[in-house]
Amino acid sequence: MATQDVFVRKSSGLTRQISPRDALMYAAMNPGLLYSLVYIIYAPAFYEGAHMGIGVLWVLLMFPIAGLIWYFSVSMPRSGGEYVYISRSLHPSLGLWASFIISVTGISWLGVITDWWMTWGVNGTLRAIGVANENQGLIDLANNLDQQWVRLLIGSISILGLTTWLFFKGTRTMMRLSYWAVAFGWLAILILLGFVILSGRDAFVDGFNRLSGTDYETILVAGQNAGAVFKVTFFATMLAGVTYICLNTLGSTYSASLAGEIRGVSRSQALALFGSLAIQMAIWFSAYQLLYALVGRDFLHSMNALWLNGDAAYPASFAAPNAGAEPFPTMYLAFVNGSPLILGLFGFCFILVTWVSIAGLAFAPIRNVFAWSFDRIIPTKFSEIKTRYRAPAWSIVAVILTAYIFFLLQIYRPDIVANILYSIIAWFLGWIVLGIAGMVYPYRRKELYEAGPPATQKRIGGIPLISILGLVTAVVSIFISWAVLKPFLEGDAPWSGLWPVYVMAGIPVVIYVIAHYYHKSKGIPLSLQFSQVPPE
Amino acid sequence: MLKLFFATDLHGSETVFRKWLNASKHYGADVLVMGGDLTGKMLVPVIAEPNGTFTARFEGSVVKLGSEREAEKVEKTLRARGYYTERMTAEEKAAIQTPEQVNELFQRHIGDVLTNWVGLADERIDPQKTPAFWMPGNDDHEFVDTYANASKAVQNADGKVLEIDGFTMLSLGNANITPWNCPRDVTEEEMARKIDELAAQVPDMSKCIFNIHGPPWGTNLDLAPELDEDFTPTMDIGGLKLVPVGSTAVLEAIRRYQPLLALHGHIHECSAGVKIGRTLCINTGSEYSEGVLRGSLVVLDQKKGVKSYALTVG
Repeated sequence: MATQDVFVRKSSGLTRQISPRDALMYAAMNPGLLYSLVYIIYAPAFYEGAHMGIGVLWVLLMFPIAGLIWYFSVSMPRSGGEYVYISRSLHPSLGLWASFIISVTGISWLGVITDWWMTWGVNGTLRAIGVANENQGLIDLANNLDQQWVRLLIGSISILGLTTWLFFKGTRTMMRLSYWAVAFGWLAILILLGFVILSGRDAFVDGFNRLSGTDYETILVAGQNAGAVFKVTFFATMLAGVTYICLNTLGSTYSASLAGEIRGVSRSQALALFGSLAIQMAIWFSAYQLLYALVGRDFLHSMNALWLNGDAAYPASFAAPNAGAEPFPTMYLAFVNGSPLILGLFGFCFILVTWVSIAGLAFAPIRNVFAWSFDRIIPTKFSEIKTRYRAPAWSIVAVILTAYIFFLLQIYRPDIVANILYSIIAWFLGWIVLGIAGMVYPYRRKELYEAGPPATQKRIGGIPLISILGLVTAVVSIFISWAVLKPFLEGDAPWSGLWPVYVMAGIPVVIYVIAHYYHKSKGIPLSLQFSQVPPE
Repeated sequence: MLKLFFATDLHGSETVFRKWLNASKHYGADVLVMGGDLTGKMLVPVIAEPNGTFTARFEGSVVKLGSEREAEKVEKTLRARGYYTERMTAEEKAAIQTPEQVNELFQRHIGDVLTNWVGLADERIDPQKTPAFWMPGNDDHEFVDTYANASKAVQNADGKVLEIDGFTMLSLGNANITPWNCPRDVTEEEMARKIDELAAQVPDMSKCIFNIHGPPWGTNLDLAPELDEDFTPTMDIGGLKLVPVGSTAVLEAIRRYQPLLALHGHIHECSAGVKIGRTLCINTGSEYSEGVLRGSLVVLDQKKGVKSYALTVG
């Protein structure tokens, strides 16, 4: 007894802490660790002159936000994430608003990304092996799998079957998968490293010139003509970093909802929130730098520019008749080494890591739907836990069905989904509100703040650190929103293209107004439900 | 119409108790009920160092306190969250070795705090205007009864059937056996026997409120983290793996007697309202360690039964 920090008596509920390593792996794998293979196509195509390796440094901007969420999760260790933090610091309507748009953004990605692993993971790998080995049968198979109805079928099975089954299974499978996802993320990096060390640029150039139907130098010239910028520019790198790369970190804060339900979370949360960002930075930096080393940054960006502009110089071997015509990195590897085993393993890494991240992206939305229902802002049906499955069945169903709608849009109306991608602005709008919540928390909820663990009471220059982190979070979120909105602000894109953001921002307002009047009619207004009881 | 405010599992939190005392005025409630587990679980030694400073270790933090004022501030913060604190030297702390010594320490602090609470309750609550009830829960030792019975304003409802403005309230602070073997854990058979004895005194179940600390098994009210043999929570797809840990005797009693309303606590993680047959069953959960008063406001009508209810976060 005497060696303990505190004396404890025999009473219920005294449990040990969840493994910090579990929390770390969970947080690390939620954002797809290998989405970098996709963003190395898009980011330089849209931000010419970007250097993706350097761009990873902009992820440092996410650390203060992780810090704020750490403070909140330790101060209020409850499930519900931003919803709980904002509701208690500002107002439940704002909590709902922010968490709704963050949740729907996550769910939209779940739908969209399901198509990624099929298009680039399965089909892209088959096509790459076919091209490398001049096997037309495999290329035809990839093209057939790229057909709309086939992707619909496989994606439906994946979302409505496998992912739903995983949610209802109620075992430790998800945690095991998280470990595998992180391991396979690193395996992909090791494969890239092997290509760079064992083969190198010359082997790539030889293979490309032999198998692609064009040649390396031609691509460089055509790429420049198509708008590729070889010089590294700060502005383009910054925009690529704060949009695509920072966007890739979204989901790493979900551990706040996970470990928030038990006490003593400060260590595991710190490791999860900051450690996951460190893992992501390491993997992405490695992926970008190794691909640059193998293929050449100028060449890679030239290919992106040719693809984006539909240039005639774009190699026919990359073009797919149905979908997935982007220059996905597996094809580059195929020009170096055509081994089906190695290419298949690399493709499998992308498939597994991406598929697991889908399950991770649905975690917080399920919890948030549960929390809204619990507070009776939406019907209480969604907070029922089915004893048979020991899971919030209706919350899961709502999230899965919403994700499936986004998946259908991705398959049939990718033009709409392209607009939905701007919903990322909505996520950061939500975090602007979170930042404001952090700023005012010690003042508006003084007794909660002062009752928090000592670690959350730190001050700098007399100002609570959580307020400072709140300010930084708001500023960073405004900055990232500006970066994403730049095409709209400069008139390059119509503001009507942001309609998904308007819809997502409008729906929670409608929900809250309905809930407000409904409960008022029942004799217990929502405002009373959340109002603070003075202790004195 | 009767507006009832129910909260539970405050576990020694000074802030939550004070909020509960003020809940009647704040929510416009006619009746206050506290459903058990009044006492705290942990005691933090505040070590007086030879140089006049103090050190407190808790929740993985080492807090250095440079002055008496700082020490008092931290002690107040800890009390707000349900911890007890004791000033002692490192040597005095090291001398506390046996479970008996620890129990004696807790008993003294629990007694002091409850005595203070009884005084506060008697000062702030007018029982003629706002009937108020509390009771010990499964985590509370037997000696807590002495303090729970001492208030003039707040009645100890445990093991009684009481009349409240045309309704009756059946109260029981026990829970089924937990992994920790708490002071008032009882077997399911014992639980069933106690409920049956009390139920026999209820004149009309359609106007009866069950105020039973342990929630019914297998409902949304009793899901708690599954623990392994080392008391470590196990993981699940949605975070922690949750399993039902409520009482089958309580479930059976609610099914059989079908009271108007059943109020529960015990499982802090799992607050919700569910229907078992005609009975609305509520577990408000608890966030005592954050100084948050989780509660439930229930509007009862003599003719319509439960008119409405809401889970509150105050």
